[in-house]
Amino acid sequence: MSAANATARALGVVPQMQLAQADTLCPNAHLIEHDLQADIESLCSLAESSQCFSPIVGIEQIDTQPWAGRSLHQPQSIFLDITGIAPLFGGDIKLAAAVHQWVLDQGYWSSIAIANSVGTAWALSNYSRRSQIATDLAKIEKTQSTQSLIPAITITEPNEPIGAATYPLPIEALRLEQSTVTKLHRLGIRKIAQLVELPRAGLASRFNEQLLQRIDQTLHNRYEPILTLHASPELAIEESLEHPTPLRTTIDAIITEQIHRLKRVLDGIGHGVVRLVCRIEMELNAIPIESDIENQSGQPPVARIFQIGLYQPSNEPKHLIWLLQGQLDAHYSKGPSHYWARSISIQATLTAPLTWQQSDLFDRHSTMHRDAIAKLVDSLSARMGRGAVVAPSIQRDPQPELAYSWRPLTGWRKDGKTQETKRKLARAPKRNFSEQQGLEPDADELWRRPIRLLHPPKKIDMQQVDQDGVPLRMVYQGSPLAVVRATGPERIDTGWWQGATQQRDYFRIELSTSTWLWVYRDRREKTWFLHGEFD
Amino acid sequence: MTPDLPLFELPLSAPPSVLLAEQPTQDITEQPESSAFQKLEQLSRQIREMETAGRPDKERISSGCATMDRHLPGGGHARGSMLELLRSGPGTGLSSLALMMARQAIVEGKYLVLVDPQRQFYPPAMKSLGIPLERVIALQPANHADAIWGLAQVLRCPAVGAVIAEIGTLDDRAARKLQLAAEQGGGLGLFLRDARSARTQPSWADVQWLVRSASRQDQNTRWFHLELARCSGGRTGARLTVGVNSHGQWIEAPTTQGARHEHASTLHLAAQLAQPTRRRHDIAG
Repeated sequence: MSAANATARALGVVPQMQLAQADTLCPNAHLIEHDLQADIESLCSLAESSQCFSPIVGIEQIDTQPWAGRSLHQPQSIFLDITGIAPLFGGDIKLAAAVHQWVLDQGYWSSIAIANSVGTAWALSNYSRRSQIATDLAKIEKTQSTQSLIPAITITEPNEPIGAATYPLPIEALRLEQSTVTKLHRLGIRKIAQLVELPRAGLASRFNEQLLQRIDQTLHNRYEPILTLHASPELAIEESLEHPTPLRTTIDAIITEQIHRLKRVLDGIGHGVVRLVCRIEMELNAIPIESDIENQSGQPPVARIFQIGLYQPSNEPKHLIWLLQGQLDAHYSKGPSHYWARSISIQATLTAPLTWQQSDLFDRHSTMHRDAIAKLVDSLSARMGRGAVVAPSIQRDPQPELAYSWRPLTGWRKDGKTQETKRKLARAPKRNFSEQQGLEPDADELWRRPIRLLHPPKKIDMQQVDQDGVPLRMVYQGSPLAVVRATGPERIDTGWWQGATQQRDYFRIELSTSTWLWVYRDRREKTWFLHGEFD
Repeated sequence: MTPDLPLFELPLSAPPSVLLAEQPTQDITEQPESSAFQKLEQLSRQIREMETAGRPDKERISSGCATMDRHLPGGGHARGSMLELLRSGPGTGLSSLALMMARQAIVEGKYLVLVDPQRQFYPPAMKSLGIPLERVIALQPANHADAIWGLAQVLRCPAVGAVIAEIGTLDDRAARKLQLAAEQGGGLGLFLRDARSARTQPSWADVQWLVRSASRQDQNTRWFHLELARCSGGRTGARLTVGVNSHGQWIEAPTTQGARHEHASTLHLAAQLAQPTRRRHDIAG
């Protein structure tokens, strides 16, 4: 269980709970599978677009072990370096309010803290108003509005000693592993104030390196860098227009020129682009037509962000421009807008060496098609979305619907740090199938699993079974048909730890029309399901 | 040209063969039969060369099954051609057959692309069919327009050895676009269609197999009745029975049934070339 809404929480469902437990507490729950990639993707695009507040934006860097108090092992916070920026917005409070409003416009509720160090800001934003956030979210869920709610903003006093604001917070606010927190709890230490009083030497010998590092970062101003998402200065090219323009052709020309300039820089270091962000600052310029204003819902767009992720590094201007055009087309096809482009910037937020290490001298074929397939995957992903261009992978799981997954071919790494530059298809090529043919009669031999799997399984009307429970007659596509042959049962029981236990007896059946189907009987519900077709 | 079949329904590749074939056959009837036959052979070869001029090479891709190859001109499918498998009913085994045929097309490190909007293809079964999963890419397009666009992109890519896609309706322009894309890329387009829809719509495929699931005693082998419904540059009407065993190998039917059918349905080549529209009409009507 990764997350639960307020209704579910009221029934006692909490994150990190086993699905089976949650199922008993709240049997009618609507379950949605957690999509880690989509989560990270949306956090990253939020971070990319929050550059309207600060040029230095980063995402928290997670450790190898999840932190105590966190249910998900993935980045969830954004850092903005606002050194010297607050006066532009009229002070810290106004800046925080502006950020809060902006996040709200994006459809999220936020908890914001401004502090002197990264660690303190993290601790305050995550822990100082934890209960308030929970009640706020419950209210938002109930009333579907954010009115009359006070934004969760914490700002430290400028003259306050570093980290003093975190003293009343629980020790989890230091970003510690669960084992460290448990150990400290056993010692009766729950608040940071208690921890500060302990002798440092003792901590060093009894706990791991992480605890001291976190104490230093949060309480002693040890330098902690914000790892930014955007490019180093030489890989970012920005152009401000003297007069804003609504013309697509002008924008295209500027982007083309910028990409060529970027290519020259990349050539120098022998790198190719893996992720490219194009940012177009917009400005309300033309006299707005009334019908336009009515159509325009919500806040005016400050900047449009176009991002492309590549399957393998490329520094070919034509390819990059073509990929960007696809996104620009989608934006400009919405009709005339009275927001005109004011400045355009191109950033290569992630680059990688262009040359590929050839893994095997004789592995000629897999390297031969690499460029062509990479281009194909890029262009398909750009138009259809990265979730629509996928590669299969197989997991060892007895439950048929959990034994495989489709992974997007372009994407982010799990920790959100960098894009996966290692090509997902660059795994060691298997031997040619013709060499293996017939050599390995392994457990998952052909015709034991259907070629097409239905999900979810379809309920069927099994009209007749014999005394052993073998199907004899079923209704398929509206007509009752005799089962000529049934192979099975193959009994599949799933573990309790995977949520609702499945107890199924699978049969491969052949109908009188020579159709082959894969059906199962749910032994708990005593009903029959069609799970696949041997099409 | 039969009057009830309007010209515009014919695929663009058809008219040259119609025009070229009709006039010479009238002259030939007056000549001795052996030279007429030679002339026809020569003409049919010329037509085939013209029709396949856009394809990257003359090399053929074996279907993997010797029985099927025997009925295909040149002993296999042409590179850059489209092939249709027609489904006579649900669960006939079309996808398995298509995957079996694709295996031969994706040797030498080429990729297999599946267009699978419903996300139904089951990777573990594909693995046991001998498909190298690290070279499989699936497209899950949201709508028909994206699917056609994606198919054209994929077929045009030289690194793609085979594409498997379910096709419902396909208008002439889209079909022609796919045909040109396939010729450019040199891969094999394997399209799965419903037999009923394929009869009422023009086809752009070089080869059409009508597939029926067959039943036999051996429970670990899946049997198929195949009928060659269309074959450019070859003879149609051949019927055969092939099986795929539990190791993913082709099995030939032990009986002579296949051969008998083949003999009974043999058509004279001259008849086909002289009246190509009639053959088309049979499929279309």
